[in-house]
Amino acid sequence: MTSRRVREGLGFGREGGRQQQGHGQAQDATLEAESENPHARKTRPVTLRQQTAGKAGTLLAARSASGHRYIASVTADATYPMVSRTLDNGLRVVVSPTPGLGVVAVNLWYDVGSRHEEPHRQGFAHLFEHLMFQGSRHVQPGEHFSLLQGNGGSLNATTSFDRTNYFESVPAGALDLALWLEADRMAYLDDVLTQQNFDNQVDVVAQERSQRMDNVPYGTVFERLLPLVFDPGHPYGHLPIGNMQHLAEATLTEVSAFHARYYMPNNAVLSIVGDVTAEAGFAKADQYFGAIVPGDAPKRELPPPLPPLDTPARLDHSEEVPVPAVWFAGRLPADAPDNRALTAAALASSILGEGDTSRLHRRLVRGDQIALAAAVSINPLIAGNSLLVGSVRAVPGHDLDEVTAAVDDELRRLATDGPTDDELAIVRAQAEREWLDDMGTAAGRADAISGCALLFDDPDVLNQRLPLVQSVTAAEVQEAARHWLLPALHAQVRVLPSAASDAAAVAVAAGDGVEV
Amino acid sequence: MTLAAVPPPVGVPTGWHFPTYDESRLGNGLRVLAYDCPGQYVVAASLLFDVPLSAEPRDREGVAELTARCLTRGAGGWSAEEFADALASCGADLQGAASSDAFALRLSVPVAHLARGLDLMAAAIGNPTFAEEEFAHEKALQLQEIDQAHAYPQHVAGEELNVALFGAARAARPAGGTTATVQAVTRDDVVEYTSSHLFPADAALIMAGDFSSVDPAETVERSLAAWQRPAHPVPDFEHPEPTQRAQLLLVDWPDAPQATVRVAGKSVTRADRRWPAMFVANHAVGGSFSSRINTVLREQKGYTYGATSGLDAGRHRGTLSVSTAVRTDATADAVTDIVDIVTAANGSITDDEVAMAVRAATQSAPLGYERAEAVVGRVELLLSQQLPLDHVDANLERIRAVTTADANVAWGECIDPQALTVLVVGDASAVRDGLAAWGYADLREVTPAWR
Repeated sequence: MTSRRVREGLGFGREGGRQQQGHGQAQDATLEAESENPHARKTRPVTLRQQTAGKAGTLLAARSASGHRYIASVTADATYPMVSRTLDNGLRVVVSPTPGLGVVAVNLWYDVGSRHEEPHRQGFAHLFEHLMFQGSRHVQPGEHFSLLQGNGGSLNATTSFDRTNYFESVPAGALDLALWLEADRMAYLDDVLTQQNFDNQVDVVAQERSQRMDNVPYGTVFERLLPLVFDPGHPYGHLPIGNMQHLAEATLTEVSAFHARYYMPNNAVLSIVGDVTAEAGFAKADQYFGAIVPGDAPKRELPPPLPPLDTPARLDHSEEVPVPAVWFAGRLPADAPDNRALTAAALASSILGEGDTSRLHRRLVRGDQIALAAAVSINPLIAGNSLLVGSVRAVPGHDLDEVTAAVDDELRRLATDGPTDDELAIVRAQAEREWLDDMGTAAGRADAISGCALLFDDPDVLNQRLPLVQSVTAAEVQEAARHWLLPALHAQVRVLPSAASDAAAVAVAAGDGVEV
Repeated sequence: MTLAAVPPPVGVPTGWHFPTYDESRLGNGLRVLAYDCPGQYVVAASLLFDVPLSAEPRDREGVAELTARCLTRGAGGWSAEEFADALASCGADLQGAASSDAFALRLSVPVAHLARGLDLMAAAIGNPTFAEEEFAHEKALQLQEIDQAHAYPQHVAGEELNVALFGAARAARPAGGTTATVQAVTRDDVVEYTSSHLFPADAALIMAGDFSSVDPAETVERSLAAWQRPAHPVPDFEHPEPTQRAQLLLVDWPDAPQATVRVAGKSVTRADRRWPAMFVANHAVGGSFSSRINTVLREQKGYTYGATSGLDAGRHRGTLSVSTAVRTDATADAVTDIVDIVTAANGSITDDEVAMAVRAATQSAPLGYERAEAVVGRVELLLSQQLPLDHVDANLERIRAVTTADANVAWGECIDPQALTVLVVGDASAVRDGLAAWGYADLREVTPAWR
């Protein structure tokens, strides 16, 4: 789908509010929920892009089509210095200075996401994230945005399965302001929260869900797909956007309890990246956050890793969509500091479904011409397993049995024969380019640093990611494909166009008869 | 614990300016603009051609987009598949794009592979194969995408808004053409479009990235100096005049849980002396999270996830447009609120709002242009709208000088709140009566041409 992104990018000329997102495949759009859509710059969700991140500086060799071998030179060394320190109250701080940049990115990851939610409060972590913009002891509702944007900053927050992320990029002179705002809501969120503001944000979240899912073709696919991969009671059994009925039943008291339970310096990491020295960064972090009293941080409890699915469930669903489409998903190894197995699976997924050179694109879109688009990607997660997701939209006139047969064929072929040297070289080059792209802004670097610092307690993991991509072998990719990607290991949701507007979901027993 | 009760002071930013460039010209007439952006290891490069979308034959609209798609489907003796491999193996991405005021071929490539990336760009633009089979497949995909897009209410809202605003102009019709016009495009049309409009004389190659390890001008020279194609006269650009009367339009979208809303009217282009003041005024009205429109519709009433207004400007057209998606049962209230806010803005923009808008615009510039891609994108915009290359800095200077009176006067002069086009894509059975009772204009239900 990269071609659409770029083509639509020629949006010459709008100043002011950002145009709402156009159509496109909602591959990852619903796997994380945001606080504020139209006005802020968005950092990328933690997907393969960050997964394959690592140190730049690689030699790649790939066959050129003109017959000679193209040997690319070594990419500029784009590593960034990182210094870590833990404040007395347990807040982990990482500073990465880029002198002269003129801007600074501040990025906080809290160790709470949708996987921590109570079963009857699905979506609460994300609702809570919205409430973090409704003022705190010294900040009026709305002021968080107006102060930062009014000083040239851009900001947002996102909630995912494993974490909640708050971030802003500001001119260097506004670093103190950004830290003060973040510290105030870490320390005293519930001082000013009113029932009215709470009710308002419940409404806003319901409209967020409508805009991103219910009023979008195929928009609810992930909500149907996830429970087929993980039990509904599993931490990843529901989406971060959650259940609107649960949120309607939530109370203000629960907000205070949630803040007290998860929002404390020793359950978060703070990264400061850009035009600031390490000493100044730590001094300011200490000045604003140092006095916040630590709490009793929840112990991280992770469910045991699950094996690949053994009974591939399938759900057929009809709604008003232009063409039939199938989504499939499966389990992968959890993300970890040395995630060789997941990296191999990530490369396998890229070979299958990233871009015009991928096998599914070549086979289904270009060769057989039975699909309009095909994509495979991974979502790295830490609680036992990560998630593999693929999707194919059919050309009208070709049914999904034909499409899935071709997909299955390609999955099996990769598992049987492994990747070619050229394919491996291509996905490594793509990973390197994505890494450089992601690291191209202070905000991107801050997000990646926070991620490694929070999830692995070690920001340096970041610098090991690309070398890992370069070192994973063809045999490991093949093994990952064989172990995790074979068609029998995936759940699928098929979305079929319906003339009738009363879209009916039909459960179809598959394999040895799992009812969904 | 103690935290100061008031926000800490914000340091005055030092003198940022838009990146500087080196300019050169190749023997074939291609103008090269290279912007050095330290730390940007992915180079953005755009080959920009001075051709309007209105140059397409009326019955072959979509040929520009189809040409853009076909350029990278085999070139320089490489098959489509080989060409894709060659790009991917150096981590490059190459995409054509056609818009109202320009045609662009855009490259994104790690700086270490810049020479290779430019060679591939040169092959695509200079020696595209346009194999019949690839052409046919790209055309089929483009036709499918046209159909697919019609399943998205936001997309349909955008298309129908253009119809309502621009009448018979090219700007009224989809950039990528309609099913009928794309159906009519032949391979010969693509060849013809390429030879008539995509030539080196007076085209520009805009590039930005960390050039500490490479000489961009020399690299371009090696890749693109040999490219020859005869020049042709540049076609006239249209001057589409937006509709200037109140319109209230409804596109039925049965069972939609939200109504997709657009409110738009005539505004100004970037070349207008009031542009900086309009930028400031719009920031207050709907151009930021804290703006009036978002504050009322989202933060006070909870009708929406977000509502924004923006100034859409091309070379010869300028509109103001408000975009949101609201709860179906709040549709009539929401559009009333929007029009009321746009109306009330006249004369009421405050000193605080102006100060905030000026700070936001001037101080956000270093962030806005942090990426090489953003720098190239802005230069594309400047060239395609015939604005001077120092426009970014000069415009920021002018924004700094905008007073509250300037903002109010500009808004009053440029926006006619009695002449807005209000378009709703939503469940007609649920929103029709409320809209009809509003009284802003007679409610007209429209059926998109493709339905």
